[in-house]
Amino acid sequence: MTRVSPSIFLSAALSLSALSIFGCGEEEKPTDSGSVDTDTMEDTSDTTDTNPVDTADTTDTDLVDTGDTSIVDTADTDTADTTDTTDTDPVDTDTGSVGPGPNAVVDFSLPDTNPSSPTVGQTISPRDYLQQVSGWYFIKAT
Amino acid sequence: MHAEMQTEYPTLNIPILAINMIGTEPGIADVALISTLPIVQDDATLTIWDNWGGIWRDVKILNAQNEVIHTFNLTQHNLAPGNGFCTDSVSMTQSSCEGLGETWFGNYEYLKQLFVDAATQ
Repeated sequence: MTRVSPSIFLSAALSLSALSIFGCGEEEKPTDSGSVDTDTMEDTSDTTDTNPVDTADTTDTDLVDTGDTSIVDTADTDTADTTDTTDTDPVDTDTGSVGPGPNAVVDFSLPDTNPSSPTVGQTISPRDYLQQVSGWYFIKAT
Repeated sequence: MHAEMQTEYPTLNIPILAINMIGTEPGIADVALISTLPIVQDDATLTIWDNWGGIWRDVKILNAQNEVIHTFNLTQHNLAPGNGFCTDSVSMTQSSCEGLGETWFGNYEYLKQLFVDAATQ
């Protein structure tokens, strides 16, 4: 009579337990022929490659190129284009605060009615004098 | 004063303009005999005097953002020579003011300096 080793017996018991868990009772069961299968289902004859990962190629073992360890390219430290030093804009549009202030006087647009004024008939608006100080005299022309 | 500032401070270019009270339009011809200041005529639609809070003989100085930075009333501060005010707010003459160790400001010079200071800030 063939002697069954304890490890083989344990392996068979675990296999039966796993089948009951996943409900495979309807599958065709093998006929017990009374003989013991000593095949451990594992091919232990191939001892050449015992590592599932191929470590033979040591040239580039990293999936990521870690040669450049800098996240940011710091080689180019110049953030501004300093090569164009010519002002191609004929109009200087940087005039600081351009518009009327939050407490600006109410605007109007009226003609100059003084016949002696050099600007008689021309339209006058306080907004014409933004960016400069101006004086306004409240008169009664009597 | 306008002509003076143009001569003394030509680069400042401070314009002075007048806003005539509603209902006094006929008088503009008379003003034209003595003044070359540009004048705009207020009307019932615009009500500039009301909107700006101006009263007769106010001089309002606007900054570069069209905001009133000074109001100097020429009824309270006559620009005729010799008129001014003292830092003690009491003395009515330059001699009495300065006799008390206070500072006297001539109205005309004071207003002119307000313009110049505003334009050179």
